[in-house]
Formats: sequence, structure tokens, C-alpha cells
Amino acid sequence: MAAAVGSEKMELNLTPLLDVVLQLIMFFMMCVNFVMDQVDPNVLLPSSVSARELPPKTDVQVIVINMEVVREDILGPDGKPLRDPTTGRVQRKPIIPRTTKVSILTYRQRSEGRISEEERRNLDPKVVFLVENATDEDLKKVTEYLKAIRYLPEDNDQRPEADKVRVLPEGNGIAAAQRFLANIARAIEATDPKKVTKLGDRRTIDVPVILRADTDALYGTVTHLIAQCNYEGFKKVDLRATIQQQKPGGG
Amino acid sequence: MARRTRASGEEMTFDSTAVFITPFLDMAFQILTFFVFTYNPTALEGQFTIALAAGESGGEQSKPVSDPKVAPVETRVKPSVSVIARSRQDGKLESLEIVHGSGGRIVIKPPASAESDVPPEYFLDELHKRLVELKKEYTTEDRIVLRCSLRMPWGLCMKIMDACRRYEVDGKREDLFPNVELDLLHN
Repeated sequence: MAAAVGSEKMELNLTPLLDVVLQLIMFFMMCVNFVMDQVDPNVLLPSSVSARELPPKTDVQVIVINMEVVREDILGPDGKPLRDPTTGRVQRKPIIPRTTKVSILTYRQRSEGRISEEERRNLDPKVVFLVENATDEDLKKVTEYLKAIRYLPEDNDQRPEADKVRVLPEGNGIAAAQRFLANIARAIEATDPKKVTKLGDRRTIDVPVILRADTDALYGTVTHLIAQCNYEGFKKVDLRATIQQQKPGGG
Repeated sequence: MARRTRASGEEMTFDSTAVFITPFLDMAFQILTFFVFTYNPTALEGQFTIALAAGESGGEQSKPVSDPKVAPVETRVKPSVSVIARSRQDGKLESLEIVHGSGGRIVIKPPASAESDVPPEYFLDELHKRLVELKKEYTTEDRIVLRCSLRMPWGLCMKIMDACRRYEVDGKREDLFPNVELDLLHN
């Protein structure tokens, strides 16, 4: 933009503006947090002073278990969702009966040998909902709610049995998760036998499990899942938490 | 610098070399707007490794898990210290107990004067103080086994783990009992 005053030209000096704009762009680009497909952003992680920064990303195969407690909005007297006065975010609480969405994901491996289609499918992401102390009535109610919030796919009932997302009482749900882990272990054994060490009837699989458990998940459920991982041969379990900078015990 | 226009083929002349920054600025502002609107700072995520304790105990014996597929991990040596955290049915912390050495027990309960629910910070502070005292008799290699009630929220269990693992000396963090293992407590 330029304006002529008399015979002289007046030009706007854009250099400082450009400097600032480019610096801002650089700042945002450095801070941008692309959500990865294996990380469930709805999991409300607990905070911990013990958590260390994540190691640099490598090609190492990992299994990620997300445990999200399903929540609903807290409604005010006017029927509208209540918002936190400081952050402005909608306040949420776990639904009753408490329902935990467990999703188990692993990276697909390039096969070293010939593996069956079934073993290939075992490496697909798996989801199961665990409903605490559930009666048949509870299971129906929770299933309806999960459909309403689109946690359950619309075609879930029409899907083949192997692809169905299951809503199960907690004990059965943990058993289902254990079957998923067993299938993943079998598939890893078929695709990458070097990762598996056998000692008698026990095996150790050199694939770490990353457990992202929700702060409202029950201790019993989390420890049962860790036990299942250990039982299937995944001995290294890493817990995820947000890094807390305060003194422990200080709240 | 001279350029020929497409339409007439006449030569256009400029006073000096110029770079057209308008499209560049447009693009820069668009990118900036995108980042400003999508910027959503999240807490930094970290991780640490955890192990399950074997069924043996220095404190309360844990019952076998109902599912036979859930096997205990491996048999290890006895833990140096056990912390037992009991919660009520609603998940609120009821009491903490430290079992150490050969039969030493420290029970942390709400003060008798407390009329309402005691916040978990009270228990955590007390636990932390007692463990710092106990630390004088142990090394950082010694294990600590944490046994929590099944219905305890995971976030609270993580806070108890923190109280067991680290402490601060002159603003600097030191290891307390970094080797924490988890076990179940059926109550």
C-alpha cells in the first residue's frame, strides 16, 4: 500500500509486521499437537510427578491400550450443560453404571512369513465396553447411550460376530480383552518370531504395552488388564500420565 | 527490471527490483489464523514402567483372582515395605497402612476430631512423612508393594504411588522408593 503526498511516496514498512507474523507461525507450528490415531484424546489421564518425558519416537512396535471412562454432561437446572467458570469447558461426570471403553491397538507389521487372513485381522484395533455390576437392563441402557453418542457404530448389530463392538459386564469384558491380547500375541509370533522368547510353556514378547488409563477408571480393572498383558507375555507395561510439576502429596 | 505485458506486448518498466509480498502475506495470515483457532494446549504426557507384585506379601495376603487365566506374574523376594490403601464403596480413601521390616505397622486414619470426609491430601501427606522417616533404614533398590482396594479410582492410586516414589529436598526431587509394584486388595 502506498500513498503519494506531493511528489514523495509514502510506503508502509512491512518488515517488522512480517517478522512478527512469521515468528507467530513458527511458534504455533512448534506447539501444534497432532492427535495420533493410537491415542484416544478423550482419556482423562491422571497427573503424576513420577512420569518422565516420552522417549523419542522410533519404529519400535508397541501395543496401546486406551481405557476411557464414558462420561456425560452435567446439566444445570435449565437443562443446559454446566460450564466451568474458569475454563469455560462443559463439566462432565462418569455415567452410571460406570462404563469403561477399552481399545487395544497395535501397529501392523510387515510379515516375514506367510500369515493367514485371520492372524492379520487379529492386529486390527479392538474395542470392548466394560460395564460395572451390570444387569441386563443396565446393558441395554448403556448400549442405547453409547449409540446416541456414536461410540457404537450404527451397523454394529449387522456386523459379523468377529467385528462387533461388545458391551459386556466387567468380568466378561476383561476376559474378552484377554482374548484380544492372546490373538495379538499369536499374530506377533507369526509375523515377527524374533520378538518372542519361549521358556517352557511361558513366553516373553519383546513388545512394550502403553497403558493410557483414565483417572476415574477403577484400580481393580487397570491391574487386571496389566495382569492379562503379563500373562500373555507382554512383560513391559508403561503407564501414561500427564507430567505434574508439584510436590507429591501436595494435591 | 522490465516485463512484457501479455495483452499488448508492450514493455513495462519498474523503478527498482520489487518482490510481490501481498500473496505471501495473505498466505501467512491464513496459516496464522488456522493455528490461532486450532491451538489447544494440552498437558504434557509422560510415562513410567510399572510391574505387578507376585501373590506373596509382607502384609495382607491377596486372594487369588477369580479368572484362572489371570496368573500371578513371577515369584520375587519379599517386599521391603508394603502400603495398603483401603477405600470405601464410593472410592474415597478410608485408611492407609504401612507394613515394614519384621512386623512393623503404621496405620494412618482420619483424626478423631474429623467430622466430615478427610481429603486424600491428608493421608498422602502423612504417608509421605512416614515413608521419608522409614527411608533411613532402606535403600532406593528396596521394593515397595502398593495394595489398593479394587474400587479405588486410578488417579488416587497414582497419587499414592507418587508419594511412595519421590520426595523433595531443598526443592530438588530425590528418589524415595522408586520400585513400586502393584497388587490387589480384596476388601
